[in-house]
Amino acid sequence: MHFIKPRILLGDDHSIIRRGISLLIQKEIGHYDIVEAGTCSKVMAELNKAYFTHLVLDIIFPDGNSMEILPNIKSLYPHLKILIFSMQPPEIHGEAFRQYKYSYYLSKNSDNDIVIKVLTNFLNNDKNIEDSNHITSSVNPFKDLTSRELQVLHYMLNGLGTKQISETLNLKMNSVSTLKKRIYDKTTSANFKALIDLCTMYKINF
Amino acid sequence: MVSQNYLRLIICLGVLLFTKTAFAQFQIQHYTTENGLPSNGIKGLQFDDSTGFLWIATEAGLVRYNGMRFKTFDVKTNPELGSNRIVVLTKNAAGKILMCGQEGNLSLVKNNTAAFYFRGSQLAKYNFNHYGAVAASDTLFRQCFKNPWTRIPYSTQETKTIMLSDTACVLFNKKELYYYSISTIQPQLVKPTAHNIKSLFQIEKQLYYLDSLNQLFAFDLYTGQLRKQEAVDANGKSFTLEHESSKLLWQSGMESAIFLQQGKAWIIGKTNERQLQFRLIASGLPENVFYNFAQYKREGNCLFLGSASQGIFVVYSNRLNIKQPAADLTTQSNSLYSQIELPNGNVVTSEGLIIGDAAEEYDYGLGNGFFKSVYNLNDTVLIFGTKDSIFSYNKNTYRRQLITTKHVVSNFAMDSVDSHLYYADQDGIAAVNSKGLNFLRYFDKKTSAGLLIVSMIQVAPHKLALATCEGLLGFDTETKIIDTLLKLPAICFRSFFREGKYLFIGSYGGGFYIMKNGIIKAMPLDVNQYLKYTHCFIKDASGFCWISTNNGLFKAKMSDMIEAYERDLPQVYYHHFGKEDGMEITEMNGGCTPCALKLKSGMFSFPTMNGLVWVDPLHNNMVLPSGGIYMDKIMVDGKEMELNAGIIPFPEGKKKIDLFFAINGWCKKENLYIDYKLNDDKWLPVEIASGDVKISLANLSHGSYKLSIRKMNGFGINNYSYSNLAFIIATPFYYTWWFRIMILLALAGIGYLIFKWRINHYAVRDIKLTALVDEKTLDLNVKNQELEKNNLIKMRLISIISHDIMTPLRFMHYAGKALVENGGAIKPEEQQETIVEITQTAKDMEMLSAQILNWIIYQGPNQRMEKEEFNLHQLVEMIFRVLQFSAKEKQTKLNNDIPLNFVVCQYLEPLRVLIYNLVLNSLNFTREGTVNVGCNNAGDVVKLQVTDTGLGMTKVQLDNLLRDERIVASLNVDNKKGTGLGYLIIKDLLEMMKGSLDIKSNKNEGTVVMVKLPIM
Repeated sequence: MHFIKPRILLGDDHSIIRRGISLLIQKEIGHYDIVEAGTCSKVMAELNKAYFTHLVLDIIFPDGNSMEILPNIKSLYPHLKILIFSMQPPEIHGEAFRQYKYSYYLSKNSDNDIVIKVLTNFLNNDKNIEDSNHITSSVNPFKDLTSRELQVLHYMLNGLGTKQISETLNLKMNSVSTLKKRIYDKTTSANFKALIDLCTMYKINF
Repeated sequence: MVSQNYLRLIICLGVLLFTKTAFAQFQIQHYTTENGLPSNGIKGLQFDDSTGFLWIATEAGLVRYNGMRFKTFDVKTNPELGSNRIVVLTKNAAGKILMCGQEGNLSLVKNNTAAFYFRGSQLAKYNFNHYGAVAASDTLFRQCFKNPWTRIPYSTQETKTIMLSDTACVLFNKKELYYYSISTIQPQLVKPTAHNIKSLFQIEKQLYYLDSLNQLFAFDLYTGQLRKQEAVDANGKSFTLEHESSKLLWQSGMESAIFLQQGKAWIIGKTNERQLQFRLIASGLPENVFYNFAQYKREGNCLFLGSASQGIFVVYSNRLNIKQPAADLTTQSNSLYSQIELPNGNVVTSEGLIIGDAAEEYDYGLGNGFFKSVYNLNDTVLIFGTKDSIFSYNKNTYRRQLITTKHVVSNFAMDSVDSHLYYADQDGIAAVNSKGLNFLRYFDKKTSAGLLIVSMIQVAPHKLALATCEGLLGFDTETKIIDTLLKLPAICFRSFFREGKYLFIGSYGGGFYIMKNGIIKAMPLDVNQYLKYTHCFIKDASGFCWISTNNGLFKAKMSDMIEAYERDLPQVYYHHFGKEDGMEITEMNGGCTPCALKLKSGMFSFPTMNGLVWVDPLHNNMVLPSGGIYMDKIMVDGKEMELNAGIIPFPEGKKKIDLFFAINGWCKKENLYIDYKLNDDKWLPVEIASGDVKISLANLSHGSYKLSIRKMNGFGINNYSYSNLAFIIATPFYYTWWFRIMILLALAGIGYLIFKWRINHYAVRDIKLTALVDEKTLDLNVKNQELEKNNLIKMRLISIISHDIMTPLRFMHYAGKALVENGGAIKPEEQQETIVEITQTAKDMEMLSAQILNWIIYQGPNQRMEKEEFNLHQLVEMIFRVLQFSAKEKQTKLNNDIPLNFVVCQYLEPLRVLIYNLVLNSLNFTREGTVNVGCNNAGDVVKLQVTDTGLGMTKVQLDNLLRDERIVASLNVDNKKGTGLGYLIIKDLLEMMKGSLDIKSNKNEGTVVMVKLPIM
């Protein structure tokens, strides 16, 4: 039962993806109050501009990682329901996002039916339906990485040095180095190449 | 040879004397310049009792005589003599033998040589008064040398010195007596008597003189008392001193005076206070000689006489007497064999010759002679044989009695065994009984054709030994068996002699043997091996054995020989008597029985090829080889070396070292048994040639040596004089320790250099290798980085393909599907927007795909592409054609500023992609502007410029772009930010074309991209 008509914000950097989801929601679920945002800053701006009930959020944006803004969003809009909608394997970010108590996670690679089901549940505020068909890897070396570590990994894979990462994430250089070391330790990677190979293998996108 | 020279002289003298006295009683040897003396003018004689050398002063140097050889010391060998003309040779009170040359330097006899003693500053030549006291003492000599005599002229010949004490003496000069002492600077005339002193001499500290009347007086210097002396001969009979032609020779240092008269010499001895005895020591001296010096050698009873112009004479009495038969020797052989002594002391020989001193010539029934074998049965009976009979002969009745008729070839032998008498001759062995001979064993005629039985002797109970030419045979009288005890090829055994348990066996050519208890040993022989032909052994009363040989007579101590047998000693002293002892022909005879006869007088009589040799075994005046061994000279490879005390150093590499030694040889060289040994080698005999005792050592290696020399001093075991000499042959430098150390150091040095060189070599190689490794590491790092980058790019691309192609396509599909299945739910304007969106996305994805493709094609350097010439203007035109729609859409004008015919030589396709990307980039960020492509040619390089009037870039963007790192970002569709893949491709292409990139841009002012490319 809908007491409040959902007002949906779509955060994704690809317009065609936003367009596709938008049309999907309109057509399959019948909600038409949909606003699109292409960057992190736009997402924050739209949230600030108007009241939304639901947020469908990609992780990687041209101006940053949504994990950096999530704590902010959570504190500013505690009632806002958020669905993480990403290419990344759920076992990796799923765990990280669960730290922030986001129970909705939808992989972009999921089947059409699953996408519709998850979106329907999300928008109807039903309990999350796990992707039962999606087999998650239990030995994925990235599943134990913390949110911070995943952020650092993201910038490492983007080719940024320790100094640049520390500036971007507003962290001390030492902390970045420690985080990098933990990433290498947890993934048991000897060097950057091995880390890249591992990322490629486990389809870590950035 | 010296000996040959005086041999002739002896023979001459012998013949001379023989005509007078039948035998030469004395041997007189006369030495002149013809046989060894350097000068015949004798200036002094001194005999050194301590060494046995006779020192002779001549006008041609000082001469040393040792009985064998003269050795001259002159200014060449002894420059200190100053002159070869020796004017003084005297013995002073201390026994020093001093000599002085004409130049005045005084030399001293030191063992075997002369040594400098006192420098005379050439005073002697003109003033001998400085030397007046030279025969006194050193003290008086020095006083006299400082204060020469002026009152009396000193004469080296005439001035006699008689020492009273160390510091006082009496001088006899020119028939006057003087007293000279430390307190009287000049000699003081003593006038004791009116007697006219002719000669002065001293015996046993008593002063005597002979006056002009040939009277002898003993004279007391202090009291002036005179005692007339009686002269007697050796037999105590009165001795007459003749006034004319007699001479008394005495000089200081002599023990007694020598008196010469009528060719004879006597030595004067003191018998009591009033009597002087004259003992004859020489006869047959040449009388027309001016004898001026005499010396007497007690051993051998030897007199030395020096003459003013005829050299020296050495006289000693014969040790052997030759006894000749009175018969006419031109018609009869004088070669004698067996003998029988006659009652009158004469002997009769097997030839029937009667020889002896007794005048009586009665033949005692033996005058016809007999065979070589005579057997003494007992004191009164002897057995002898003739051609065909064997007789017994009674020495008391002088009767002979036929035992048996038996043909005997030459010899027979007899001996008794267990009181039975046995006989042996060429036919066999027989027992002798009252009926004659009873042959027990006949010899085989064929095998015993040459059997000559010379001697037979009992050696054991029932056992006889036979000396034959077929060996030493044994005969058992009970079993009658003959066996051979000893056999030497072609050697005859001839004589036996029994001394207790020891049986001496002589052979003709094989030496002699001693047998004891059946054990036979060959005995050591004499130096000259004369004992090889041993004829006879006979023992005298003092324990000596006399052995006759083909080369003289030997005397040896019986106990020495027995000791040599028992202890197998290699050497026995055999004293030889031969020619110089009075034997004219030294070949003695054997092969007869008896081979020597002991006469009742105690004399031994030996048969020889020339009469009999009689010798008194107890008084034979023999001279033994006593005295020391002195080093004379050392020659190294023919060059004389200076003699020094201590260890003699020889230079290395010398082939021959000759060592000459001085010994006194009065015993004759046949009696010199001298051996040497080097270090601990065995003793080797020293050969004595020309009177030189010389040891030659050849090719000795370096090191220290000890040379020992020994000389037998006469009879007795181990009776040797020794002399030792230590010398060193220098070590060649290549054997020295320092040379070895040097070599070791040199080797170590070379080793070190090699080591160091190798180390350097390795270090250099190491550096090179390190450099190489560094280079490779760098290379690898670069490659690794490259690989990492490429990996990153690859991953990025995967991400791009997933994020920017696949996901959008999926949602394009959703959008498309929504449009297709649209049931009016979507507003028419939204449908239119979606179519535009889909179109734009498709376009973006196409361009993205093209760029990914280009990157895949041109990334990496391993392109096998070749440069080609083409027109750059046309190429840019082609690119513009492709991009004209995009440009039109953006209302942007494309200008080709490349000169029309600009031709470059480059990789065509990569350059096309490069320019395409640059223009596309410009177009992407430009709206309503222009994009110019131009170039300017700067030599080998073309500078390509793509200029746009677009958005431009911030400094951060620019820096990111120009950074060497290649970062591919996600496609930012909304902002047209681009993936950076375009610039990545541009950088890879420039690397391939060896070009460079520069970008100048300001935000909102457009961008200028400059590319430098080599055109060739």
